[in-house]
Amino acid sequence: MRLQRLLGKMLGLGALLLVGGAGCAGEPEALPPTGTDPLPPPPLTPAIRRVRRLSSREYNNVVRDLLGDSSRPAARFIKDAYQNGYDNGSAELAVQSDQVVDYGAAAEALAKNVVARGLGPLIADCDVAQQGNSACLQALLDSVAPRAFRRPLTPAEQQRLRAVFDAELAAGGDFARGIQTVLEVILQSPQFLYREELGPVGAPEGTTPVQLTDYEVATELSFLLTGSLPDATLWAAVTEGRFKTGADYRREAARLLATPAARETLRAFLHQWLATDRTAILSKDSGFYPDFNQALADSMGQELDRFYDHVMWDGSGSLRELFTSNQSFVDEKLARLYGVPIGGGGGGGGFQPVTLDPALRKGVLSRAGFLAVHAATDSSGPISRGVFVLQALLCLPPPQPPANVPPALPAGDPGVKDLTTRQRFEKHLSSPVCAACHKQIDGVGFGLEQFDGIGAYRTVENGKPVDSRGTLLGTGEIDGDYTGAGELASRMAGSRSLTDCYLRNAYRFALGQIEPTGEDLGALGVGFGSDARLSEVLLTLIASPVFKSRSFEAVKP
Amino acid sequence: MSGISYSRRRVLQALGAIPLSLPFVPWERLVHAGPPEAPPKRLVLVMQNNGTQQANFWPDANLRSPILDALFLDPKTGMDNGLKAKTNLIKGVYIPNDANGTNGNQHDMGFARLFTGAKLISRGGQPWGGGASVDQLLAQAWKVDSLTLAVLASQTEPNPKPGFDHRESFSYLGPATLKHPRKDPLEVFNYLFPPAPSDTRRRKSVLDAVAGNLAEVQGRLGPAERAKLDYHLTAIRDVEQRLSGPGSSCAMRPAAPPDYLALDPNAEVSIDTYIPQMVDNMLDLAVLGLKCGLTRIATVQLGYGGGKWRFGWKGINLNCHDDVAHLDILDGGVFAENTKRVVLMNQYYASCVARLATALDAIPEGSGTMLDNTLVVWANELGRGDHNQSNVPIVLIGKAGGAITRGGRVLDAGKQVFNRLGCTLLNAMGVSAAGFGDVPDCGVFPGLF
Repeated sequence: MRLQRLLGKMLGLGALLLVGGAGCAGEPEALPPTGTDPLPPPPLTPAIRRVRRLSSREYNNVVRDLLGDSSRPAARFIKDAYQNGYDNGSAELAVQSDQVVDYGAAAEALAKNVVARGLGPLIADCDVAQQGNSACLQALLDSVAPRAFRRPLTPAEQQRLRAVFDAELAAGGDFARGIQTVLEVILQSPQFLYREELGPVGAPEGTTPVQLTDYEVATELSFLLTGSLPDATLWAAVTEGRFKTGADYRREAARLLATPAARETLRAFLHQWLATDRTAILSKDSGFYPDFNQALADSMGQELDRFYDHVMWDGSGSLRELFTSNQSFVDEKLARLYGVPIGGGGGGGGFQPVTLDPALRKGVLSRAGFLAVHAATDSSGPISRGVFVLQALLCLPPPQPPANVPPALPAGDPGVKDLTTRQRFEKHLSSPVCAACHKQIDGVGFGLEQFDGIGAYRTVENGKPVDSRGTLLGTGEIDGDYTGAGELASRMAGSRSLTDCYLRNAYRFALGQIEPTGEDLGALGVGFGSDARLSEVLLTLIASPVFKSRSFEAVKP
Repeated sequence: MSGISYSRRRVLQALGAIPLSLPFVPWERLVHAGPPEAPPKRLVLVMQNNGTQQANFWPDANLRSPILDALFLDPKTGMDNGLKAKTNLIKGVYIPNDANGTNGNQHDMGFARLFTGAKLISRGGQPWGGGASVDQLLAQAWKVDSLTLAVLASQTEPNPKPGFDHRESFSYLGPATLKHPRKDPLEVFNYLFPPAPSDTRRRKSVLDAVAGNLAEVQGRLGPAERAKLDYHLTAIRDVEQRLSGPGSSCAMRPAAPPDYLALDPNAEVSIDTYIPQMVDNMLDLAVLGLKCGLTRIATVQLGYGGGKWRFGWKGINLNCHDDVAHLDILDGGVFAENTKRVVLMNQYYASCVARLATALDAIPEGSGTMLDNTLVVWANELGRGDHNQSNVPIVLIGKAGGAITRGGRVLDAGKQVFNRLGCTLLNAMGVSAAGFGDVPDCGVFPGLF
């Protein structure tokens, strides 16, 4: 085979060119000693005083909750890139001209539509004929505007909005038109588009962190747990001075966690952590997966919506359950894929609860959505699955492959028609330079080989039996040989690397930033293990000083 | 509130990294060099991924090569299309293999470094560009809104793999801050040629108030956060300028491109089918933006960094990153079947550049054509598909408003660092610079000017 000769040649070349590559397997990060008296973890470093721009998800939620508009205008905003991996107030988001245009168009449509639905709710039912333009404009500035800005307006902000209103009336507009224009300004203002985390106006600049205002903490809390602005109850608590203490935070956090908005938000968090939100854009090579279509991909996503909700709210809400539960929810398409019987009818968009074979389908790792998203378009993709599990779930990222890494032969190549995917990829284990990292990567990816590129179970591939033996390397106490997805899931579920990695991701989601280099997140993990509720970490964060302290940026000389 | 007072601090800050030969000359005088009646200079960047086929790219003495023929010859007649005489091919450009502590590879070095000149910076290990890219530096200097366009659809890679969002653009507003491309041709069209006249007075009044609110927040921020709102304020200023500007100078509203999202909601994400048509639309929109006086800077990005188009429209139908480009491990190619594929891919990119450049060359302007006042740059993240970055092909087409007087040649100054590209573009566009990014004294491509 010419291609195989070429491959061999390139492997040799790779060996020559890779000098001193980064370490891979068998070099676990040092874990703190156990059994000794642990020192209390150092406090977390406060973030800088900052503004956090709304993501598209948050924008849609906010206009729904503020204006009653469910048109999801942000669906067509220009796509963001999240450096911290999450769309909860990702701190580095900026605004470019295309977004100014998008915001403008959305604001015009939103303002027009809400005014058309009636002015009453916007101006606290002020009677314009009785009370006059100025008083009724003030009603807006005292009600909807502060909720939009998540704090009372400054006199200068009020004056600016009044000037816009006056200009509109001077140009011949009526009261409604003036209000519409003021709303357009509000919806494009940084005070609306960014969440402020600045502390009190005029706080003395220095090395001591400032404490966020009650309004700012309430905003941070509600966006973290509900992906939107403070709801009426929280807003009332803040404005009436009943949101000041740790006990107040706990009370409101517990209340918000019980709302449907919290379900949606934490579901979005899990989807983003596990990258399963990508079912929405999943694509497969129809030559290999003729049964795949977007409807099936959507079903995979909806199964995970339900699975995450079940784990978080009906079950123990723990990492162990997320990684080992065999409870699932399937429609007809997924029932076929999973090979499970499903009764006729059933509510919930045709989804019904089912129990999957725990030897085969244990936890999220062996759900079709997870397996398909992390597979290749034409095969199971043990490399991408292995890399993702190590990098995103265990926070043990393998280094980038060397520059001239030879690809495995494509799944469609005649030279591999009698090989399993595993055999096709095992070639790189014969090269010492590749094996250094691939023993670790494949050791995870091969364990999921029972499932093809769309997550269907298989025992035979290309006429050869599927081999799903794997080896965990560099993962600390769970290192060693195992067989199949079920055993991989059980090991991971009890792994310290997984709980530590979850802490890191919860931090990145909650604080909208990547942790500072060298930051020890141990303070978040006190008492947190595989069996604790995932939301515990968020509550720990909320109670921690890091949630409401912000430092001044160092002024460069 | 009268007008938008916009901070120029960011521009000056960004250019602080660039030693200006006349550091104390006021900014406006540097950028508006040349006689006032001269047509404005313009810049177009066309960026491809995955390297060229070295033996089939670099031309013979007559500037013929299989790939360049697709740039210089009319596909129907086989005749010289006129671009050759206005083209300079730059040889020997390399990008140092420097991940700077990130987990980036050569795709990232090519995408995030080529036009920023800066070292990669890490965000949780992921590599991001370390500074503003040259298109954005010029946009800030000229106070124009650049047109940032891309076709990113890909069946094999609907989104970059998790953690690689930065591969969506090579254009940077500033450190680690992407300028995201527009992906929908119809949206770009409606942006350039609004379907209905807008209430300019009202929109300006709204934007003025928004800018006032922005300034109030900005006053409370530290330097880094203030810079973030500077991007926003500049963007507001750009949009307001567009509103109050003369609008399209073209007599007729051009024909609109298709509504791909109506054809298929995933047309711009996970489907390869429409790629060639969308690329043509984007190239044409870039030309229209320049032609109708709606911008002076356009960038067109063809796929993600390390993108995985299948080139079905060229009869290839393979993952052209993994299963084609990566196999091209020698300049002369390794086996004919694969070499042919790499050549086909690059002939396609050449034909895209030809479509754009010949269109500009067909627009009369001053004593010549619009191409004479433009510099079209065809660049590549790699030299060769196996991630080799030692001879990245750089093609410069146009006279850049007289800055470049000669063409029809290969400039081979031996091995030269990629930073010279940014330095060359700044100087060609009238911004004097001695270096670019992390090589402050690299100079320009020798022999070009």
